Amino acid sequence: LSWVAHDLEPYVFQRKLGRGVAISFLAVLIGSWGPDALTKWFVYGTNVVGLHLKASDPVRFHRGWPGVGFTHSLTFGLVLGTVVYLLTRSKPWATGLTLGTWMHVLSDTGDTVGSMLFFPWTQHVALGAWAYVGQAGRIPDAAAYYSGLGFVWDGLWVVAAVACWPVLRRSYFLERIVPADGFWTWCGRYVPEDALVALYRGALFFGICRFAIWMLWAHVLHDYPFDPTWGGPHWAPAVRP
Amino acid sequence: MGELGIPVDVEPRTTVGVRRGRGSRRPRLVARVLTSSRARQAVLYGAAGVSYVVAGVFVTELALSWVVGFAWLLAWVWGVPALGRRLRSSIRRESGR
Repeated sequence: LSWVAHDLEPYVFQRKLGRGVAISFLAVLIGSWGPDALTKWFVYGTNVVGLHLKASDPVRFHRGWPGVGFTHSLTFGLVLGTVVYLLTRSKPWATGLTLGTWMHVLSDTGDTVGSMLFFPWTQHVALGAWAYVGQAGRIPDAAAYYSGLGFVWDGLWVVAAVACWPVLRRSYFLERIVPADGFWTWCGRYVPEDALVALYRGALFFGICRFAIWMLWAHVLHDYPFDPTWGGPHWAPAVRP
Repeated sequence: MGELGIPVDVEPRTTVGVRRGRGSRRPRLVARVLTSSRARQAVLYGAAGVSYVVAGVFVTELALSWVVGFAWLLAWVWGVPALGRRLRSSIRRESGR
């Protein structure tokens, strides 16, 4: 699994591919967050009115079948985009959701569990660059991810997103992002322009801050050893499919 | 309003050139930040980022929720200037009495 990459992918995508085609930035962001947004809490476990809710087999639930692993597939992105298009006739949203989901899915093939790219026709595709430790909970997962090649992967996305700074300009937002999506016009009725621009830049802010927070937390506040080797960190209880 | 009925600015519009020679850079920088909306925005984004990182390192739950992240940014970039405007206008009202 990737952490900050999913926050920053939409900006890089917007810079590189969002020129000729009208694609909703918000849809790309939702697509990029989507596969984890509704499932991660059940992977890590959470307490609700005194009840501890957690998947009995977190890895299979998150990435496998039976489970919600199908959300981490290119086919799911395509089906989602098609359904949204049939319901709304909005190409920017349908395309955005599909591409956002695809970016998430491809990014998640980097860990030791990987994702079922062409579900239901394939099994897991995993590059195995960094350890999947989601089953151990949020904190061990963060410690492992930011000690192995995960921090390099996220670091690359931070650099790439910062290099795409022109898409963060207010003028870019007003000229390119707003016209492609009615959401911003609707939102603009209730909040001023400064707040809209902040919302647009929000995922970048969140991603870069999160990267700094977890790196400081893991290696300054705590002392988790760095192990940027393939499949590492090897001190973490990595899962493989 | 002042004693002669002339409107009185509560805060000086600029401090540029108030001090010359040594130590004059700082007031100029402060003035630039106060008068330039882009610089003011940059300072607000920077303050939001630094405060979020510092808080998040010690309370990691803050770094897990995008809702908190977005709300934090909005509070700094939108809430703080709005609060400042409200405070300034109330000070003006008070001094106008």
